[in-house]
Amino acid sequence: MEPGELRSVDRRIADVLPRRSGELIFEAEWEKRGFGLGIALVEQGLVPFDDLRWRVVSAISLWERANVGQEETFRFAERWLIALEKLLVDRGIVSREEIEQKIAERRARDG
Amino acid sequence: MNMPYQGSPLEGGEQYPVPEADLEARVWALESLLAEKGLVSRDAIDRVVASYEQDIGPMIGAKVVARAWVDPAFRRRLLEDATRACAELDIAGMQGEHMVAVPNSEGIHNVVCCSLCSCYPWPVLGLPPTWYKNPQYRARLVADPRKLLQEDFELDLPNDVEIRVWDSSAEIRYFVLPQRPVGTEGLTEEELAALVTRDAMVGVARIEPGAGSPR
Repeated sequence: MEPGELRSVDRRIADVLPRRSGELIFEAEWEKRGFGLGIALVEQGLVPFDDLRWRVVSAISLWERANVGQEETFRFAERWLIALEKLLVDRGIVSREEIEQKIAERRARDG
Repeated sequence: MNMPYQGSPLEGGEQYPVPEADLEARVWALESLLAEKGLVSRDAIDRVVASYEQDIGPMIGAKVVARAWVDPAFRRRLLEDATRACAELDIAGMQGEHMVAVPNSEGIHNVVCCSLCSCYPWPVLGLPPTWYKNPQYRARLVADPRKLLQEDFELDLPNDVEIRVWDSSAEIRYFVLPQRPVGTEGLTEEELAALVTRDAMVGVARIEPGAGSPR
């Protein structure tokens, strides 16, 4: 990855990023991983940024329409994850079954 | 923990709130699947996260400020055309918006806001803090900057210091060039950069001598 690439993506990320992200970009480790995963997919050319971007934007606006007056419960990373997962499924990169199976395996393992 | 939802939370998106443990598990599942398929390694994710946390953000602005403190010719170029001066330091990513550095001095303190929305000099400062987007901050800063700085940021400016409020727009992004603190003559450029905070570059804080510690 060339250093410049990330910054050229950054411009567009900066536009979709937090309406309410807070001082810290990441509140929890999973937020960090989810964010990094999405950008890494773009950096590696596996998904076009605009595809991720519009999905993030629409996940946010869907949430906003459904949660008027609840703005303080908004969580950007959650909407990002929802958009990312849908993107991966729609593009056939992973299937919903694989995801659910993976989660089930882990639950079984961790009790 | 709440009841785990059935299937995926992704359809619709109104199911709320999603339990933290479920979110964590979903990210972990995606990360594991992509790594197993050889598509995205965990290292690649680490690298992305590290660049966002370290390279993009206030540190970039701090480098610009420190350079301006040690290099008068650079300072002149920065005040003349900040976009171009930042490009000298290999700060890219500016497309369309013009960066303007506003210098603090003994008699003038600058502070930045965006009264219409949340325009922010992100190429040098990274992502904006929550309060920057708060309508209260925007409105109060424009109406009575001295009071807002005092009440919300504990920044007491002497009455003879003029406060200038810079209203950013989609086209022009202002950031503050703070004064170099006294007593920092012996510091290297890198040590100076470590003193520069995001808040000082927005103009809601001053850089206290000895406030930061050299890396």
